[in-house]
Amino acid sequence: MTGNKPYVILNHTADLGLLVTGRTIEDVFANAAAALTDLMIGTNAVKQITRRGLDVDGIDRDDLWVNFLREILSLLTSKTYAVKSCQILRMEANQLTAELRGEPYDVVRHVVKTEIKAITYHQAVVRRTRDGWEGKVICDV
Amino acid sequence: MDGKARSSVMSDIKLRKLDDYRWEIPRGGAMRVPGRIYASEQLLKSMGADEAPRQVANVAHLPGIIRYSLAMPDMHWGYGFPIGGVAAFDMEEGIVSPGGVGYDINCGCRLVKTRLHRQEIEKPLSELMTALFHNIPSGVGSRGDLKLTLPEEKKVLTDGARWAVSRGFGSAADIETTEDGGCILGADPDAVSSRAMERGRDQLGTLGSGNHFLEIEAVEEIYDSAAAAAFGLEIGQIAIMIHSGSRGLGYQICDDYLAQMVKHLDELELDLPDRQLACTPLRSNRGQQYLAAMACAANYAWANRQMLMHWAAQIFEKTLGMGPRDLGITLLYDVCHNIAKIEKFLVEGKERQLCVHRKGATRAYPPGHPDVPPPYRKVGQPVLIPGDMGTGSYVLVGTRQAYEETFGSACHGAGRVMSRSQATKASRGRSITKEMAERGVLVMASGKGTLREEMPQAYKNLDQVVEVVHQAGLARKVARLRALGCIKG
Repeated sequence: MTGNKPYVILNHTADLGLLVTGRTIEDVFANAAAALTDLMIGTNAVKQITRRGLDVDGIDRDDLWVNFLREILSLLTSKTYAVKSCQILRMEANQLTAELRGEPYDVVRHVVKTEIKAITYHQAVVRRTRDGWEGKVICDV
Repeated sequence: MDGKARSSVMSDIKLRKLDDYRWEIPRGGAMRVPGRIYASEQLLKSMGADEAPRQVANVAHLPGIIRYSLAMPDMHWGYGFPIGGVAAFDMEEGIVSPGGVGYDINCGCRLVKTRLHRQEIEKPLSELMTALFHNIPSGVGSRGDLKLTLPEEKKVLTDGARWAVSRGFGSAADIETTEDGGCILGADPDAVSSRAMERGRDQLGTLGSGNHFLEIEAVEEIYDSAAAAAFGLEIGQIAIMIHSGSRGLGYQICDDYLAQMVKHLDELELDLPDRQLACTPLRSNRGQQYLAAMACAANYAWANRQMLMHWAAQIFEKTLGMGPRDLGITLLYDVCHNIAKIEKFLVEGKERQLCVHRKGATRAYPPGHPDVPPPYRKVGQPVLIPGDMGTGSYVLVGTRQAYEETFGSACHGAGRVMSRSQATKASRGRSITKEMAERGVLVMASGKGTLREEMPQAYKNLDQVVEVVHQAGLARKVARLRALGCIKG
């Protein structure tokens, strides 16, 4: 991600809070996928070569938000796939289909800067704001 | 307790002062029990900007909680439970909560003694630190030399530190002075997902990142000669403190069960103030499965610390050109500080089995308790409390009072006061390595930003935290160790 990043780091005493913004709810999810990659390995290090589908569900929108980020994190921690960008193809109240763009994880180029252990539910929320949408999450680091 | 109703307000939570070191959050709303925070007035101020007291109150909402929701003096804002939180649950009516254990299951500390005196390592310290830094795998996503086969990984999960000793990492004597003998029974690898098994596969024998460390320390002060003698500690003695946990395996186990429990929350008909508190009845299948998987991660962590200790011992031998007998490397004790344990306590005069969650808190058992290793049974369990990298650590000893009051628990460290980004900002333009060197501590880190994030000012004052534990009678001060060299992940 370059220029104005659509995410900011929030202060949390022990861990790492993330606030992601977007014009639409789809933007928030897509921006969050890239934000997570940016924090862990830096999106500049990722090439956009292949595409990968992702289906996620949850009990409601906030749970979907956590589960979606969990899947992105899992691709990174299992050294399977590095996401450069993401497009939400279908978004419903408690399920989504996304297309991830990036490349298979390359242990030489994709060096972990910040170890994110997990995505927590604590204060996890996606909501409409005056200017669009925002999503908040606290990651265990 | 003087019972004077002095009060203080933190966040939107009212605190009632019970005495100089105890504060109560009175029961209100859907809280089933009150909250209790152990802190001095001074420490309480540093917790003021925090959401931790709200989290203490939130834990009091959980079914089957006994007496109160507790927080130790190193308390700070976590997710779900506060860090420094302790809560005990009834085995019939109560719950188990993966978030109440934390992601890094059996994150813990071990203190390793040597026969070396401080003067003997003054010269070779730098060489020793460099050798440790290059040979102990540390840093983000660090991988070990060992890639376990699946059957071997399962043995690690069921046997813990015993597996490590059986493979030549350390000696059988180390098992005796490890909490629970380095192995919780009932671990079932079938309760662990393939994702978790995969995450743990090549991380055994690695320190990890963040606040995990390996530190060379020297005993600087002794407060209790009898207990120090029982623990084999004397002034000037060199010791090694190791802080690590269950790595990716533990994180994934917590995450897997948390997701499952959130999915089935409606079955419990609970109105939880925070989804991170998701839980399940202890007697349910899911509860038993979680405990079996949690035991796997706990055992993995003990095997991990056993291996790290063994390698550190080998590096000491090689660098100093000394044999094991002269070096005298032995394990003083190993405690876990993120765990749920089935333990027995007296509740209203009756002995009951409870599930005690300690999230950033250590066990602190009294003299005579059968779970205190035989060499220490007369004096009580060693309680290890490390501080920030510029400070060192304390060794305390468990008391009867903690057994009666805090389900045998004390604090686990100093506790953060600054977020990682605040610390990074506050350290801008400074050389933390240089500042540490001026304090007489040689520091090395794998991560670029680790030293900034972990700078001493990011933590509470360890002396103040330990003083509260000591004065409140939860554990008694035995010795203070000073940091000489610290390797951070």
